[in-house]
Amino acid sequence: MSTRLDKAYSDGVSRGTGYEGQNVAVDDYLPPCTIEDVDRALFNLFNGEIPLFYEFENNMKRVPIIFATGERFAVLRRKKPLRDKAGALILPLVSIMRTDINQDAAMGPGQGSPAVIRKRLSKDDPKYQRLLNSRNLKFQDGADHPSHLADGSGNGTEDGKLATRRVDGSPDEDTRSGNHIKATLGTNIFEIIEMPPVKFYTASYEVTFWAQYTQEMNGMISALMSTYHNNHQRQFRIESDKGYWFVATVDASISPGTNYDDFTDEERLVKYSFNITVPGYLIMPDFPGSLNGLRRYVSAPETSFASTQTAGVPVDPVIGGVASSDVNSYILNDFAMADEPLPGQAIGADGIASTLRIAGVDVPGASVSTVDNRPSSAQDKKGADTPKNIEASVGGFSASGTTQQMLRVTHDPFTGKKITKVVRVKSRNQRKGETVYREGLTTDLGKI
Amino acid sequence: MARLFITPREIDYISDLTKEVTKDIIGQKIFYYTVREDLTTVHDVYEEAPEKVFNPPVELDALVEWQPETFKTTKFGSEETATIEVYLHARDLTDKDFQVRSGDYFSYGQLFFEITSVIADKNVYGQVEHQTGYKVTGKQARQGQINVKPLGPTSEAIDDPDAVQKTFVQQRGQEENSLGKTGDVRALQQNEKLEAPISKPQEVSNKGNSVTTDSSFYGDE
Repeated sequence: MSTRLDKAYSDGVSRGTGYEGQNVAVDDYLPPCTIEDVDRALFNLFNGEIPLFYEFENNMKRVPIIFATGERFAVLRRKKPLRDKAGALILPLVSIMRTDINQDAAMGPGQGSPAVIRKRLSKDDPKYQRLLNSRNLKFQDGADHPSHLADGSGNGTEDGKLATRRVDGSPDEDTRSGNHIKATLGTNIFEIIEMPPVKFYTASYEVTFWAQYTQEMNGMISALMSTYHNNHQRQFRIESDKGYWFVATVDASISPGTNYDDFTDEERLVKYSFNITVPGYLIMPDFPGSLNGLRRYVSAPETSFASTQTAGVPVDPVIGGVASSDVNSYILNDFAMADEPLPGQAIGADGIASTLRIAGVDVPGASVSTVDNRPSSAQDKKGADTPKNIEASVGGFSASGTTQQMLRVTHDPFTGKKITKVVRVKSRNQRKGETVYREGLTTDLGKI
Repeated sequence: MARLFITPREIDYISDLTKEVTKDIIGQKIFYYTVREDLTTVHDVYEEAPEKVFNPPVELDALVEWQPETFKTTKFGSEETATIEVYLHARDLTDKDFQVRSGDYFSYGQLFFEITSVIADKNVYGQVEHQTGYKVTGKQARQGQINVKPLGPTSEAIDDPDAVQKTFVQQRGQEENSLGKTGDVRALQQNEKLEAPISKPQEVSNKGNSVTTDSSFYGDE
């Protein structure tokens, strides 16, 4: 995982890059904000915003702007030519040249983590609201209500209706008063769109005014100095065509590039230059090879903290911070799957137990690591990745996605001998009081 | 030289002599690719176009001053680049109503060149309205600036049918020769100061004696 584009999964350990997962928000579009947007915004400032004009044959003409510099064919054959028939430049002119891009921009939020840019009701929310029936509509077949239970006893649902075991409630005041379309937000399914972190930088430009006469130059400099948004800071609010805007700050000094002191054998030059700095930002730049960084998430409208009690002692692998340095932990490493977490290093962890776990044999004392510092080439094709199946457990229980391991004591049906085994819980049903253990490799702990 | 002695007839004579040397004897040519800025999508700020639209190539008779390629080894590795100077006859361009401009491209051999400058070379006997020709300087173009297969002759090391020029035909002021339209105009003939040549344009080609030589020579037919 050399770049943020290579990190394919979230792991709960490292900082999000914005490109994890396959949940690309394909229906949404965020205009990219690139270096070109800053260039264009500054170009537009001089080309259309600041009133830079000159008089020629009793006509007002806008001073041409050159963004230094284009291809020969394009510069030489503008619709409004910059040169006369002899090929000499027609003055006055303004040249803008980007001189630097500085990445050391200690500014702005959102550089560290993905940013939420949109939150809206999901397309599935209306269906959920029917199931929720938050207004407690009793006589609407499409709304979930306890009275729609068959026989009112919980044995199924009446035909063509939705039913629920939730407690019957009374319609709220708005419903009773007929205010059915009042907008409310409460328990809803929300769709959330995230974009990758923004990268800030500072672009520097050198702007040169070149005129034929000092009077023209005075007019151009006056136009610049009198049109700042903020006269104290000498700032312009420049905008790109996409709607992004930036703050351009003009340096205090406007330096002459004239040759008045000696132009014996040269053309008299009336030139002035100054620098402009623009703090800019990159938002999902669309360079060749770039990825769509918009991600879509759907909120969970209900969160349930349920506990399930299972007979037995939980013996989950110990979560270790770093990969184990015990060589015993890697004896059976050839059995490891590509995305298998490495053996961890933890207090009380046993290297043999950890390597047996890799081979599919569960033994108390195993440990797994939460980080994976192997190079990409040693891992799966998606690149280096931290373990995906590790979650914190509290009191021996963890989130539903994690396999629970229990210590079970049984008796050999033939010998009657007591056997202690570690088994994995396949499923649990608290309502029915049922726990299903997964059939698999188990080890008689009495033998090790 | 005084205009008293260099009359328009002398100017025509000098022009026709130049054409005779370049078109009927030397036979060097370049293929000129005009960039169609009106059809090309040019970036409005940066004024550049990665994908340019060109006119079909135009064959121009020229005097080519070939210069050896420059070999440089830098932090990017080794690189060969070529610069070339091409002299085009001013009257010939006028006759063809053709304009040579900086920023266009031309090929000579296997290489493409971007025209970096077009300079009027000299006046004819100090008469400012008569230019001898244009000195065109080209800098070797990189792949991406122009992506067209070069037209022959290119190199005898290449197997393409047109890699080696096997036929050279004089133009001699005729509207067409055996290769097609020439666009050639000889002023003295046009102004009826000279009659058209009695003989037809000569050629060097494979029509010659195959026993002793691969090609016919001037006057061998």
